Amino acid sequence: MEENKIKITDLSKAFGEKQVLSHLSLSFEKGKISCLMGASGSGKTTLLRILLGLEEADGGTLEGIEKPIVCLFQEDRLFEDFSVLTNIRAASPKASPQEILLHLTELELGEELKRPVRKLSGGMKRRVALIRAVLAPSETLLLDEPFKGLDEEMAKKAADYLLRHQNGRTVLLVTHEKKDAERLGAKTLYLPSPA
Amino acid sequence: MLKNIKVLRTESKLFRLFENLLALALALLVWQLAALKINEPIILPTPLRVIERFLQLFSEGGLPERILFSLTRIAQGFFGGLCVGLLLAVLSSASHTVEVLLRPYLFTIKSIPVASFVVLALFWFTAGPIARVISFLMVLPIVYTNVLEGIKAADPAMLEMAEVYRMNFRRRLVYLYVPTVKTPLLSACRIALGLAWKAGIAAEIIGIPDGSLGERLYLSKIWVETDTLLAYTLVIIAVSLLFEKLVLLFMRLLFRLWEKL
Repeated sequence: MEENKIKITDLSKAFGEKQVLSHLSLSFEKGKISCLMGASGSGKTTLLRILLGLEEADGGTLEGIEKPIVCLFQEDRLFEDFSVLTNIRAASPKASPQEILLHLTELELGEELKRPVRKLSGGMKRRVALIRAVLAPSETLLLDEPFKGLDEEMAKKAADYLLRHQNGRTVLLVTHEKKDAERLGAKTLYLPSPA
Repeated sequence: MLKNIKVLRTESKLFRLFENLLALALALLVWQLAALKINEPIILPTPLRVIERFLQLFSEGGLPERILFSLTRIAQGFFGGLCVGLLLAVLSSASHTVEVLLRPYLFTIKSIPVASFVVLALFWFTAGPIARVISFLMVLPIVYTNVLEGIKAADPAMLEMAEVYRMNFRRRLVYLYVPTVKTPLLSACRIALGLAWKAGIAAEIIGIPDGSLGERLYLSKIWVETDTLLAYTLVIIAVSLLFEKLVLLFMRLLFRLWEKL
């Protein structure tokens, strides 16, 4: 096995009658950002869930994946009643409020530190979820549609932010948008369309 | 627009208050007419007589002591049931074995009539703490069941997130479970508070502890003082409502402080 690659071989997963992944094989580089693209229903999210250990594959192997793995889910999954600061610190207890404030400021959320998440707009929540994922200690970062709900300008800022804070981690980003891969200068991997 | 909505809401609140006051006035009128028709104060005194008797209670002396006696015992039973119910629900959510082992006890508490418990409690204890024991037994299963169901209803997506971000039990409890059980716990408390008072006073009527509100209701029965019985009932309703409002307000404040953690 190549030392610097994460290798997925012959991976299959079905939910009842529905075959979501069928003998999938692909590899992506460690310490780099890779984009995973594919049509709806092609199993992108299922693959992320298998990588996270939240689903078990029916067959196949995963090699070289480094832990801990952190994920920005397709939904924000924030604690709605708590502040932005609390949400981020719940995932990164060692991050200082000053450090968190700096990250928030980079994505124009500096004023929202103590605001309850339920009072934020959809785009703001997405950015908070992204910062929480980036700040959480990890070796591998999985991002499911990280720029969903962000306008063009903010999506670019978020991409730049991600590049600045990648810190040599392996990042696998799931997206529908080819321009997300272009923004990040990432290698694109394609999942075959569902049968 | 927002201002209009606020005005409408205030108006609808005022309208509801007006409706309720009107309904109450009509009910009192029906009561007054029925009492006049029966013309037998022992069977049904007029509302005016009951209110008059209610006001007299304050000048008779002994009322604050009786209120304090019953209030402290029912409150102790309520908070005891709340704490133990919460603790057992948390333990049951963490261990299926605990949940299964607790089932017979909770089923027994829920199924046995209050009167049987009162008699049993009189065998085991003195009459003094009877309201405390009975309130505790009424509150415990309500809090336990609601909180356990609340914990079980925690969003699986959020649980996955907590798993992925390796949040320990303390952080899951603080940020995930407590907000999840907030609504079922508050509704459990609302039900349990009413029941604690009703069952607690009923227990005092059977156990007749000296200086309690229940004892006074019992004496009203012996002395055939219907007006005093209803006046004391008014006192109990007022105290229990005030207690319920204060407890719920305190709990809402606690949750608000919790969210600011």
